[in-house]
Amino acid sequence: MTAIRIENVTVRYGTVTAVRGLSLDVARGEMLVLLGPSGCGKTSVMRGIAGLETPAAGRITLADTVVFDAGRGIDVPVHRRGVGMVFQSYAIWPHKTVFQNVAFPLRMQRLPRKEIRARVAEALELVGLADFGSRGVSLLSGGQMQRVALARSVVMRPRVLLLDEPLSNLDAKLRDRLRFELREIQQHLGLTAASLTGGARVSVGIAPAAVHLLPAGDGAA
Amino acid sequence: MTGGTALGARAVRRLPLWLLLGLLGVLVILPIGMLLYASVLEVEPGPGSFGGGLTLENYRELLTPATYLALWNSLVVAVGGTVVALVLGLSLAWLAARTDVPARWLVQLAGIVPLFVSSMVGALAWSLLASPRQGYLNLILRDLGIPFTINVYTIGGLVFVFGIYYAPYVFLLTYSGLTLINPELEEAARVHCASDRRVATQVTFPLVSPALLGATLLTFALIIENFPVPALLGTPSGLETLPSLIYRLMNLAPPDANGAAALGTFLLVTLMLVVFAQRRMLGRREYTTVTGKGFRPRQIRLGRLRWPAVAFCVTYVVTAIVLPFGALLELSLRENVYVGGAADLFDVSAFGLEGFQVVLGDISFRIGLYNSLVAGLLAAILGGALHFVMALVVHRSKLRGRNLIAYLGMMPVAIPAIVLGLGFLWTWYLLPVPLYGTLLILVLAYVARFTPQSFGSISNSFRQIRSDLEESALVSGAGRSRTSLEITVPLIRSSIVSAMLLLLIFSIRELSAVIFLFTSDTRVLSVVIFDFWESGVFDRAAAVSVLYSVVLAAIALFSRRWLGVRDLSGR
Repeated sequence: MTAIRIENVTVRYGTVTAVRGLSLDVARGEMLVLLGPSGCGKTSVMRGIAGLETPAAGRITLADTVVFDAGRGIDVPVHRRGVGMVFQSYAIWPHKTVFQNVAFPLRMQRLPRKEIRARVAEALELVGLADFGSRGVSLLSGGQMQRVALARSVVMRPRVLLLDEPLSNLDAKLRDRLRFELREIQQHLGLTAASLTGGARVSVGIAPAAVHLLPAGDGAA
Repeated sequence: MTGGTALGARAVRRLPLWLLLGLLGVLVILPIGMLLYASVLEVEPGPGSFGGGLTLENYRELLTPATYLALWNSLVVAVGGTVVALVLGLSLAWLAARTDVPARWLVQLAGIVPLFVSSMVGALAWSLLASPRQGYLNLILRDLGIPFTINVYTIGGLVFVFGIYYAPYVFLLTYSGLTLINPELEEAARVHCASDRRVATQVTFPLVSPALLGATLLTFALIIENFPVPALLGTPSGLETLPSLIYRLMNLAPPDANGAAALGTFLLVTLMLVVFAQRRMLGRREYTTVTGKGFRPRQIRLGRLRWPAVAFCVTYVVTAIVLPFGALLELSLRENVYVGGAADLFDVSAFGLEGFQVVLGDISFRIGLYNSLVAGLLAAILGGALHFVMALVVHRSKLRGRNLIAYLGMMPVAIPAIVLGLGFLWTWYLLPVPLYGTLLILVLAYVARFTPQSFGSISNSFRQIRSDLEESALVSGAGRSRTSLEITVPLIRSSIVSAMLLLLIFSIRELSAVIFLFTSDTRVLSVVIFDFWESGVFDRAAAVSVLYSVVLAAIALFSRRWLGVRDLSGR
């Protein structure tokens, strides 16, 4: 069963083509890693899946739902795609506590307060931050921030988890540890994930499937 | 989805854009349109009587020696005032930012002077100090037997007063540039054998020169449109600039409204050219290596020059604040306005609080204070909300036409305040809403006039929020409006507060924009002072000026924690 299907997707910025005619399938429970030098269009692909970028052409299907189809004019807005995403900078809201950050997606789904509390606790437990709920976020370390971001993206049980260079801001030792944790959590939850990274090294640890993107100018995708 | 509902949904989505464009149209475009229209009308615009034949006669009638002289005076005063302000402001900024000058707080005080000393109060105080006959400084000079008279009612006097009260703007615009220079650039010069002086002239100042150029044109623009200073200091000797000539034309009996409109159009075009030039030059600033990182620049040791430097700063503060407020207090505290000689000035027995008591009980002062506060608060609330929504649409929507909003929002920068006031007057003659005679028309004029400052500062804070903070909310399932409410607004709350405080302070300080808009019930404090001065009741004018400045200083003090140095420079 295919969880992410990308067909012939092209992303353009003005006259620059960032991604040309990319097609790929990711099966359920699999983790895909997009590799490639900066400027090769990795981020554009990921933002296209999330709905933060509108591709010029192509079709994107998430768990059998077409979320984007340039030909048929379908473009499901970001907040209805049910995608979890860990941003490169983590994008932890500085004005909210750890709990409030993680609870946000559930509040958007209007879940009852009790259930929110239970699921947030569960997610924080999963990433090893069980006692951190009431803390402010400004004093967290880089690794802790990353865990909060991860908890926030899995708490809503997303159809697809997107990871935008999630380890690039961390030091080498922490990176190694988190890489395996990430993989473990993903398998534990049975999530389909797409991760992207600038260096080839990361993929050794976590990726059963890796796609290497070349800059669009080279004629390949 | 059928075509009909899709069209409907589109219209609804674009509704905020249309509403904003409509509002800005009434606040900015319509006043200018009415000004241009009135300038080619054959008859006076009046309530309900707009129309008649079109003519270019109004412009031809401007070709008189009085106009040429006012134009010439405007240019001379603006150039001279700009030069003085530049020298003062840049020296102060450099001392405060890059040297070990003692008593730095004194220098930084210079940066906030304009918050509580309006140019009108400064001009009024200097007319007390240096009017040729009764000026306090001249009395002292005379008693000391020095055969020299300082006359502030001259071109030189205007240049001087403009220079000291616009120097803070130069200070604010160049100070941050001077502190933000990457110190390695200067160190590189030093390593390669440049002396401190050579580093300053070869590296530091060239690096801030774009900011300096911007400050030059801004100061020029501010001075050339300034109305209160020439009105107070030029009128006694018949010295006119373009803004004060416009005011006189409107106060003739009967008023020459069409002539004022034509002259206003001319002033508008002049200012637009200056602002256009400023924008072009600031637009090229990007290439400089002034970055936003918090460097701690190396301080230059002044050595033996420290004390002359302090003396320079003290002199500035004395000239801009101490002497003027001394003079205002002198006149407000005296029981007898007449001063025979220098000795009388220091005769404490002649002082009393009666002047203040009279003013505090004066109905026009009370109404003015009430109106100022109410109109200022309303401008802050309505303006803050409007400018926030404008910034939200410009920076966070993808609606076509959002750039037009940004453009309209910045346009009042190029509209002289007094001309905006004229346009407002005629706009609300025309529109079938009875706003003329209410405080609300003043509020709208304030909001229009200070849109660039307030909208600009909120816009800046939007640019500083990393977009992924909002994108992650969208990904988490929040819609657009939910995201702004939960994420955007809390993140920029302090910048909205600071924009509203700026609106409050600037509105209370403003005279020019409302000089044609008030009626006897809607006079604000600045108007009350101007009226007292115009009718020759100088002691009242002085006492109200002191209280007015205290009100402004209190608000500024209260707002200190929200206002960044950069916000105050306005444009």
